[in-house]
Amino acid sequence: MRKSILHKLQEISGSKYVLTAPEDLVCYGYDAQHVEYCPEAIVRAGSAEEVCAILRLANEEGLHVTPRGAGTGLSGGSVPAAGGLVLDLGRMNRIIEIDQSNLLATVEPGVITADLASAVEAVGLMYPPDPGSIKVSTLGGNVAENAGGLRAIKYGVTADYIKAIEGATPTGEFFKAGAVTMKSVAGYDLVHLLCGSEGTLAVFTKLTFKLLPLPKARRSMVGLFPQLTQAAETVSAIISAGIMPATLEIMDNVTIRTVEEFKKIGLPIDAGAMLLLEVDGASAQVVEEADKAARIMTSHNASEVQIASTHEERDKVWEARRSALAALARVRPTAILEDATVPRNQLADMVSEINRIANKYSLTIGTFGHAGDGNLHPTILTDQRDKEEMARVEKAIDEIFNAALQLGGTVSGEHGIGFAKSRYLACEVGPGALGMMRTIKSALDPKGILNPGKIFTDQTT
Amino acid sequence: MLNELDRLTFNCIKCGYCKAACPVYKEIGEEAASPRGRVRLIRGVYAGDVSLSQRYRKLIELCISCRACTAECPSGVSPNQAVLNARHHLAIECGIPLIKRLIFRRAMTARRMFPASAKLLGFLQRAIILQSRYSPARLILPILGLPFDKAIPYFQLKTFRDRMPEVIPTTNRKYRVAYFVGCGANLIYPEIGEAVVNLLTYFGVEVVIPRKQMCCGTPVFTSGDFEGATHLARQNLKVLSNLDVDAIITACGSCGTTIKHEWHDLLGIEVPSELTSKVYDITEFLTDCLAVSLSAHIPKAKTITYHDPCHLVRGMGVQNQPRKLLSSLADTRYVELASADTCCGGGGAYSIYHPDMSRKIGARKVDNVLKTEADLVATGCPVCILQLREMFSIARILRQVEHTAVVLNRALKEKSQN
Ligand SMILES: Cc1cc2nc3c(=O)[nH]c(=O)nc-3n(C[C@H](O)[C@H](O)[C@H](O)COP(=O)(O)OP(=O)(O)OC[C@H]3O[C@@H](n4cnc5c(N)ncnc54)[C@H](O)[C@@H]3O)c2cc1C
Ligand code: SF4
Ligand code: SF4
Repeated sequence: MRKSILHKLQEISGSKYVLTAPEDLVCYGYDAQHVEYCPEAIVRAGSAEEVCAILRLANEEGLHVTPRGAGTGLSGGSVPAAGGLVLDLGRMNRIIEIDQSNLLATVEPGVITADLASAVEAVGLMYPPDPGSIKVSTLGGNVAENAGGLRAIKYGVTADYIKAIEGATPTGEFFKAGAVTMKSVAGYDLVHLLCGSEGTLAVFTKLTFKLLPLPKARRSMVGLFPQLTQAAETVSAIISAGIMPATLEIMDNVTIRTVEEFKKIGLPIDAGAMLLLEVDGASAQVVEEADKAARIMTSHNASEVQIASTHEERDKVWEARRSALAALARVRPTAILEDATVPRNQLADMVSEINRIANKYSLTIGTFGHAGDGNLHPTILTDQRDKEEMARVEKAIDEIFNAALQLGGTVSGEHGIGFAKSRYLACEVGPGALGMMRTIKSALDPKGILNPGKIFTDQTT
Repeated sequence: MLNELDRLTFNCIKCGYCKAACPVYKEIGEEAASPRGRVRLIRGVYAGDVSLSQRYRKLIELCISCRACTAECPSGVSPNQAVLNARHHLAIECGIPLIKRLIFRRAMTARRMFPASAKLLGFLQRAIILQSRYSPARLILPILGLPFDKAIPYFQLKTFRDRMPEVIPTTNRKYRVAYFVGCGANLIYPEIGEAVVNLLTYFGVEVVIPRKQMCCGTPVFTSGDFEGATHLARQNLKVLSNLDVDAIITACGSCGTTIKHEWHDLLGIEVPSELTSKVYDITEFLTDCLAVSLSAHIPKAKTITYHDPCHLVRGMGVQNQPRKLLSSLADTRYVELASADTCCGGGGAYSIYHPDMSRKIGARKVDNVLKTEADLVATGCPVCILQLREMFSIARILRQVEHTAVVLNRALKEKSQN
């Protein structure tokens, strides 16, 4: 990067916050997927004014800018695919206000998701979106990826909570979008255009979220099934019966076996699949729903159903699920986590497809995920250094996405397109919608400086 | 060596879970200062896209070895272990700075010289009254890159081990154990050693303090000198293997962890499992083997809290035992400390090499202690005691900080007097 540009960046944010050492460049070149690109510099912005100034400078100089939260993305969103500058928002990490009377929280984008969740819980409120990365990910990253989580089936995703966004447009203009009222139809719904925009349409500097009261009671249970497809079918049955669990997760045999090997918590390693379910709400309703769900599991061939009655038992139920990725990641050096998502009633078919694909390419794929949302995480266990196997992995991923689309699903339920999945986007949304997306992008970012190389295939460099 | 760096890092899936745990990253906020960043850099040294630059060395040295990252990692990677090996690699490729070489290589690995130099230091301290907060001799501290108000522990003129006989018998003998004293209790806080011996003999345990034991090696390998640490480990191993005892007791989480795990895991020494399985922290031995519960009260302290030393809780897995013992004290209220198991910023020599970072991390601990309103903080490691006392002293806050064994021993004395 030219000295003069670096100099200006230092004037904007202070030289302490402009990093150019090779060690820093390497460390800002990755996120939680496996492809890396190095930036030429990193700037750690401290305010909305700085962000605007940086983007204006970038427009003048034709400099590419990639916003970054905590770098836990799984589609390469914060990886500077076209080089240039990484704009780290982690320093802007203040919780500005928790408004108990309006049930709202206003934060800077670098606040860690779990920090907001525990701050509002301390006053009896709940911020429901709880991605698996909750202790690390930032709220800016969550909004940019429209992150989901374990409770999405009942409580929805980040988009269901984001009310207002302040930030900078790609050309460096400050904006405020959205309203904190219960409803608002003043103009286009920019908030929901920006939510899920993967750092390509704006850089957020302040976010306002809706909160909920904490539910009074909750109850967890596990059901064991001889076959994965039976578990998948049970998911639809539970929902059709009018039960709305807070969480409904699935784990296949590969995952169960690996978790058991790693944690030794007494899981039956010959079970084909496991459903983990939690209901929450008022005390009486929780008991009733849990019993009903248990009966449905039994009538759908569950070989065993256990309802957790104590705190410890509940923790044990969720320990298995929490350890899923951990256990799988230990089996082989590289774990590739996908998030193909299908309509809930197609879950069983999707599961069979994944099994077929794993066999076809002789790969080990552990499948777990948010069954209640039809959102599976087929996790391919492999070794990045093995070129031949990686070629099979690529083919398997292609087929998994094709299968999801065939079943009326989507290539990404919650991790975003980034550069990792851009070649599948056109197949999913079709030329019409893709054209609209491109038009929006080029209208807001005429010089293409903000996070190029993401979402669309032909924008690298 | 490079292969070792490869083996220790290739399982990293870059999930970032370890970032949430790292006290150093929390202060700096730059990815390269996070465990995930360090793992990537170390991997880069293996892969050839990172060089052994000053910045690399600094980032590797900034790790305080608290093991919090390792506990968080789903993938079985230990960033902490990778960092220690990276330091060893740096030491081989670039050498160890002279000052560290003098302290760790020459002084600590020689059995007599180390206590002798500590004693000499103790003598000098008394001669030049460095201890006093306003001593002009303190002007030397900023020259050495240390804060003017750095707390400097008094080194003992006569070490704890020099004062004690090799075998301390007991009436009604239930067990016979060896006490691995460690440098902290031997040279700086002899009251810890006295408390351990008292408690054990009181409950019917004969204590052997092997004469030829040396430093366990933690400060030596932490500076990258694996050869010096291996020398120490082997000497100690010889001493500890030839004892007819039921257990080996430590009162310092780092000594215990090093004997139990690091001699083998880090230094690659064959340590018989009969030996490692005999290593107990003093609180662990009191609770798990002697089923001690003390109902006596400790003078002055009304509310007690407990800080988990990193290596005691994550290295030795000792968490409930000290809490159980402390809660059993009559007339005192035990309160749990928020984030009790996060690092206090002590980190052995870390507070000397990185005084600013050490104090930033320590300040968070102080805040949490203040929230408990406890007047006494118990903990299980001499370095934590040193750090916490210094932190309270510079914040001008009056709080007692004691080793759990010392607290229990005081309660015991109180009890026998009543
Ligand atoms: C172990 C693991 C489990 C996960 N579980 C889930 C899960 O359950 N559900 C889920 O949805 N995701 C999950 N993820 C994916 C990831 O954590 C989310 O996508 C998260 O929202 C990313 O947040 P981040 O702060 O790390 O953002 P980053 O990875 O740094 O960035 C993500 C995107 O956001 C943009 N961005 C970041 N900050 C801003 C800002 N202030 N303004 C504009 N754009 C910005 C970046 O440019 C990038 O495109 C998981 C990841 C891991 C590693
Ligand atoms: S937690 Fe483990 S796998 Fe995840 S980034 Fe840290 S070292 Fe890598
Ligand atoms: S050992 Fe502690 S200081 Fe070192 S990288 Fe891990 S968490 Fe950070």
